[in-house]
Amino acid sequence: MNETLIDQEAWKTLKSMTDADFLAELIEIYLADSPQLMEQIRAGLPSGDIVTVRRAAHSLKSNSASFGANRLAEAARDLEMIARNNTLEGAEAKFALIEEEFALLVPVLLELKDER
Amino acid sequence: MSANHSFGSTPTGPGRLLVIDDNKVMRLLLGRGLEQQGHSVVMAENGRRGLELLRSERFDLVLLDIQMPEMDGYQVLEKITGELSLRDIPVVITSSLEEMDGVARCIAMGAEDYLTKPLNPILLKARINASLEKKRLRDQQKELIRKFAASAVADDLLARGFSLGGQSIQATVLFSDIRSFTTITESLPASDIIELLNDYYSMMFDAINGHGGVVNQIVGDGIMALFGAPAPVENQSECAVMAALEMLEMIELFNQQQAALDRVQIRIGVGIATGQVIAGYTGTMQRATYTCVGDTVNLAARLEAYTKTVGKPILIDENTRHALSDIKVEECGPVELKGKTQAVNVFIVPVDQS
Repeated sequence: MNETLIDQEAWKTLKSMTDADFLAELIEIYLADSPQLMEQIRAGLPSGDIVTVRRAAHSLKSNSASFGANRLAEAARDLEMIARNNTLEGAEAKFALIEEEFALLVPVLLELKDER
Repeated sequence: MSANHSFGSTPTGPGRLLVIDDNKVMRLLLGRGLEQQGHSVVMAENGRRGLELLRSERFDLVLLDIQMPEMDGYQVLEKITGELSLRDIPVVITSSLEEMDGVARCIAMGAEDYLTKPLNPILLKARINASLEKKRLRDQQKELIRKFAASAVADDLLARGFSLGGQSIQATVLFSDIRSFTTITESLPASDIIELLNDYYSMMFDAINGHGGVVNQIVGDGIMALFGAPAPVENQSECAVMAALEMLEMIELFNQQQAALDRVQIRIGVGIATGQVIAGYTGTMQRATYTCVGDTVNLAARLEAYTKTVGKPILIDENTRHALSDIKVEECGPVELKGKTQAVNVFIVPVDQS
């Protein structure tokens, strides 16, 4: 397991709350939902839709944290904070980081999903 | 995990929980975690749906996310605490660490507790169980209130909430006592004494509650009841007198049964007075009782004691007498009572009202 991307403790906790099948389902949902959330941010940035950006960043943060994907969660958190201050200054850069982290996370999650 | 547990029957038993969260991953995770602990979980993806479910089905607890589109957690919470049928359901807020001021606001609005995401299963279990336990205690308290107050009064109390401060209000106070209780029970075994008292209490409670009164205190064989406090009662004086007449009637029937079983029979005295009383909750935050004091209370007690002297079971004061319309009353004349500088006009309510 790629230790830097996924926090061991959080992953252990997650495993204790679910069985392998459910965990696979959760990963699938996360992998499906997250791009949608990122799309909301992508669309919201040029139009200045601070509320949507904030909400999507918030959800992305919560979900990622549940999986122990702490770097992604932190990037999402930073973006949420920006939006909470009623601005989108620096949001583009944060979003770029989010996309990067997510791209790195996908193969790791897929691998974990297939682990039985 | 059997799905056939009878929920709510044991102290830390499983409950029926509603999870409101717009985030699918969160919903599933939370739901699964709770199901693992033996609870039955229903999920709602937004506030509107959540409220629909709350109104149509029974739940023991709600887990509510703050950040939701359309109807956010605050609005949902407002609805829950604002509706009589929903406001007793404990609400646990699920939030992230950055939302602590939002959480504080929710707690001020009436939320029971909170949980931060990502969820820690140990904390989840502890907090949910604690909230469920508190709810069960509250339900038990409500049951007790129902036991000791007529349902209209209980409903009123539960709806309006108790007002803690003192008030000066018009009420009718009723005192009742068993004549020579100590003497007649001297020769009885302890279990018989308790059985006798319980029979007496249940009859008196029945008569009092049936006429809109609330039993306020029991001291040995003495009962103090209020008509018109904590909640107002129409024709409170008349209700009190009707209650007294019914009490006497019940004692009469009881005595007949006792005689047939060769058991001890009892006689009671009832004193009723109407006027201003000072009412409120006294005690401490942990333990408070509804207290009623003042001249009217003292008068009712004295009248009850005076029933021994005059040999008539029901005595009432002038205020009570003036409030009666259809009930036969006899004059007893002015009486010097302890604690009163002037003689008081006392009236007898004959048991035989024909």
